[in-house]
Amino acid sequence: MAPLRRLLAASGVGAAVLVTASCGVLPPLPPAVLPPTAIPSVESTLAFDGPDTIDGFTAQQHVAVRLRVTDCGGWSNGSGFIIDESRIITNKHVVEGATHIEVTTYDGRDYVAIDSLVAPVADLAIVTVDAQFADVAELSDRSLTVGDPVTIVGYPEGQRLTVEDGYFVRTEVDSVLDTGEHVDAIRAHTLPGNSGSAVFDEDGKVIGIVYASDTEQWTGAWNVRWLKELLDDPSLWQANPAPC
Amino acid sequence: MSPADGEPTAMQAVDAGTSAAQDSPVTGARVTPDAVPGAPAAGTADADQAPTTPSPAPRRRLRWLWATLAGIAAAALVVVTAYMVVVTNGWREYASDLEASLEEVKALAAQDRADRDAMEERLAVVESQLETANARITDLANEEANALDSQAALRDAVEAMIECADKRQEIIRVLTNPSLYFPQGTNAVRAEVDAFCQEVQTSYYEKLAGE
Repeated sequence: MAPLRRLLAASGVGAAVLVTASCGVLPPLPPAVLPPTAIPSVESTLAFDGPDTIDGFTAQQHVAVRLRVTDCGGWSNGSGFIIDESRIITNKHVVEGATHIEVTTYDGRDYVAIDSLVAPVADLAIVTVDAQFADVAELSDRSLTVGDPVTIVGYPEGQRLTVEDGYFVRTEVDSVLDTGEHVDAIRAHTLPGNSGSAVFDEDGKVIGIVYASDTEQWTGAWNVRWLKELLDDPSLWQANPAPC
Repeated sequence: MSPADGEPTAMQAVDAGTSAAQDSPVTGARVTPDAVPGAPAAGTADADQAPTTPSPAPRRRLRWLWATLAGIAAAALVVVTAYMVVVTNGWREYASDLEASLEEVKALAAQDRADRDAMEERLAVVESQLETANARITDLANEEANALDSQAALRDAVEAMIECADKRQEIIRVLTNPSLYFPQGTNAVRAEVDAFCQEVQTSYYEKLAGE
């Protein structure tokens, strides 16, 4: 009996040794459950390459307004953009001497101005409207370099709202109003009525305000820094009385 | 006779027979190992010669060793075989689960693809409708603004015509008694009013023509 027991014991030990030694060679058991990665996660390939607003108009169109200005000699049109919930920025030459100002938004809503102020140097004006605008323009902090793309949103000749693409050309001395100040020269197609239109940079922020143009696609714009100075110091604004 | 008498009993005889190494089974005479033919004798010249066949004890140990090794191998083989069977079955089930999961994913992917296609179609329709609606909104806003512009222009024209009519009424009053109003004569006043009214009329017709 003793040899048999020895045989069995030795066999067990030997088998255990062999099994243990072969652990590195034998394949392992499969996982008890499927790993989570068995069902791959897939990212949606759907992409909407449209406006960033819910109604299909761009944020830049939302803040664009059309002005109808009545003065002592008649009336005229201009463009502008919403700067806060009740104020609009446009050109001084658009509203100077106005007796009555009406504002129309991109969707046809009409508002009446209750006050207007003009800048002392730059061709800029601020119009206060009896309204509560939901969308307001953001002002850019960047500096334009030659070739930078820009977008001008306004109402040429008082007609339909348009979006014109262009690019920054250079900074030059104002030769239209002869203020002696530097303005931005932009290559873009604009017309009378675009005066006061916002110039947007690549980020959709206001980088300038259109004030002049010619038939050779030259467009002049006051840099947004002029507007920032006026907004930072409201005492710089001047009254805009009607001469009649 | 009792066993105590020294007489050998049957048991004793058997015992004596089993110790044949010491006693001759025939004669009962005592035999020493030296007497066994072929057995090496200690201290003799024969004792130095190597045995021609192994002794039974080492041979048995060798057999036990081989048997033990064979047992170990057999046991290990049984264990490994059993393990491999378990592993094979486990992986087979795992592969089956993976296949089922794959079918599920394929079904989900097909459904998602169909949903995406349907969504893209709807999105294209909605985009087209939105574009049309936005163009219409822009047109309506423009038409309304232009209508208000025309209204402002007409208001200007009406105001000018009212002024024209007032001035002509004044001319009529002057004509009835010219010396009271214009000592220098009425021709200059009439020419001035006519020019003004003509300008108003021209401006009004130009406006109408432009619309």
